[in-house]
Amino acid sequence: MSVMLDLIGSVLIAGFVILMGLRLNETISGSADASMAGLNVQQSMAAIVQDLESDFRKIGYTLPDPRLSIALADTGHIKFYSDLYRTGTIDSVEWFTGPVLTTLPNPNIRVLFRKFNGDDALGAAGLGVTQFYLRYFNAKGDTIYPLDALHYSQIWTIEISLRVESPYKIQDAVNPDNSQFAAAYWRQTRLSSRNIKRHGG
Amino acid sequence: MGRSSIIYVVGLTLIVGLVLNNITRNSVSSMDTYSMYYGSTQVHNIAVSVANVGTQYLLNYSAFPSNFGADFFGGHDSVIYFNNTPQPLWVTLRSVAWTNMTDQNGVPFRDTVEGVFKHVQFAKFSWFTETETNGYVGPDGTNGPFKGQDDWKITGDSVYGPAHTNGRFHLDGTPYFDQKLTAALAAQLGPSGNPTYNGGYEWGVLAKRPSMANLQTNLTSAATLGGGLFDETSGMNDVALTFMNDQVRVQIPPNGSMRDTTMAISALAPNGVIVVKNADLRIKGTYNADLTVAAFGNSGAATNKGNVWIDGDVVAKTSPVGNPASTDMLGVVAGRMAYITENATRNASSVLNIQATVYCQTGELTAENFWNIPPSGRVNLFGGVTQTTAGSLGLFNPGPPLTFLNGFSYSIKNDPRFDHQQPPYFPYSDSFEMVSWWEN
Repeated sequence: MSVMLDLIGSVLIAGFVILMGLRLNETISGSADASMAGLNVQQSMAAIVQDLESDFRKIGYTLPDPRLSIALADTGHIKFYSDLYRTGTIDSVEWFTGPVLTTLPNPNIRVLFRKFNGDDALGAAGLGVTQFYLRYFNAKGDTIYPLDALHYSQIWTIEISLRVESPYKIQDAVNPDNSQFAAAYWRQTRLSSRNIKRHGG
Repeated sequence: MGRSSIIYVVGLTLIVGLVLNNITRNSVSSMDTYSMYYGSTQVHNIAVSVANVGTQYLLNYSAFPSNFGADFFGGHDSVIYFNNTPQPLWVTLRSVAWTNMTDQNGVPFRDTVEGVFKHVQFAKFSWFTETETNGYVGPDGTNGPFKGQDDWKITGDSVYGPAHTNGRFHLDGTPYFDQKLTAALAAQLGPSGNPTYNGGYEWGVLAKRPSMANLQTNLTSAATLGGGLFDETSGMNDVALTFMNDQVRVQIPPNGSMRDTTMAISALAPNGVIVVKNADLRIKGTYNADLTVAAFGNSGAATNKGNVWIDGDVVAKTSPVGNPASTDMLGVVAGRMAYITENATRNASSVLNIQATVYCQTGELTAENFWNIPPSGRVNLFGGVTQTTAGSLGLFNPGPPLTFLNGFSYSIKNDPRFDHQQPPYFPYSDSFEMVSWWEN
């Protein structure tokens, strides 16, 4: 009888220990996964932001008439002119998002494209963009309205918002029972190129 | 039991250790990414900030600034100025920054910002004043009735080209500025002031004009060395030039009693500069040339001389309107005032065309007795005007309906050629303005 009790007790204790081990394994794996996803999101964000800042700072560079620097301005699409690589010729650069990707668990991810001159549009350096939103302001700081070709010359500063998420859900750091997409958000509130603020000539 | 427990604990420790190592590596990578972005942003901010300081030294200089270095925000920056080639009047500012912080390879973060600047050229302005007040002074030195009153730009007023004042603009209603508006002082807005700045605006900008002595010396020297100089110091006889394509009729005085000759413009002024000294200059006609005409007075009996009188249309043979390839270009420089000559034959439907950039050193572009003459039609100025005070061409009742009472209405349209070039020896400012700004 006492042997039976020992066996039952040890099975129960072993079961608890195994369950604890499984739980610990799940938590540690989730943390590692979350950590990696967070890192990927951060690296994607940093890579995209550096490219965006580099391009946007050069809007209108060496363009004789700075009022013609921006050829297309929309909330998710911009096209501008600049001698981007100081070659002495004026280049055109476009940034825009494509449609959402349906093959990923995250239903909001799209590709952020950069198109240079007549080349094919290429995906930006980072992945996982779920939001790319542009707002345009005039010299008085007012939002430009209506945002049409007649008013592009009034663009003085640009606000860029960018959100990058992981393609799959990861364990919440606070409540491991929850899961959500790893995300990073960046906003440049008043990015401007000095080349569009100068007199022409 | 004891041995299995030890194996269990050691195994678990290894697994946890591996996972923690992975997490730590991610954390380090995350910090690397953060540091890389922080470092590159920091060095960029240093380069831009010190370039801003260097730019201000250049834009507000009394003596040309020297190269300098600065320790700033955890880094160092060196600013150097050097002449831009091949443009001799251009200057390049280069700001090179590096940080004390290094990247993962141990290399300091570095960044370079370059700004290119040039002397402000007055020909490009559609509208430039020292002060936005009327400054009419008659040819005999008497003040006009509106002298000293503020000039207000209101609904219906448009400036299609760069506009600047070294004072402050007075704006009410919805005046329209197609290109960038700059001024030394912020604009004074009227109660319903809501101007449209299509090319933006900037206050705190000063564009210094040359002194009368420098202006006169530069142009007179050019006229003496390779242009046409009419030194009327002895008789102070005014000079009339009537352009007839590539020819010019010269009359001294304007009735031609002392001289009445017609000659090629290129023969009169091979370098394109014609100066009348101690007298007035009267101009009209169609020119086929690239030239600057000027008149200067002096002290004493020539105090009120140095005016340019526009007696009729002054237009290019190949019109620059819609044709920036036209090589016909005219600069008009008055040491004192530029008057549109009173002409009794004009009526409300008359049109006077001027294709030139006009510069008045002490006065303004105005219409002779504009407050007394009947409605005289419209002045179409294709070019611009740089003047001390804000010249008026007519009087009107703003209404509604808007009614012209006296003088001219006018339209100033920007000649885009003047964005990049000027008539020969046309004045430029000591002050600099930005041509381009490069950031990585």
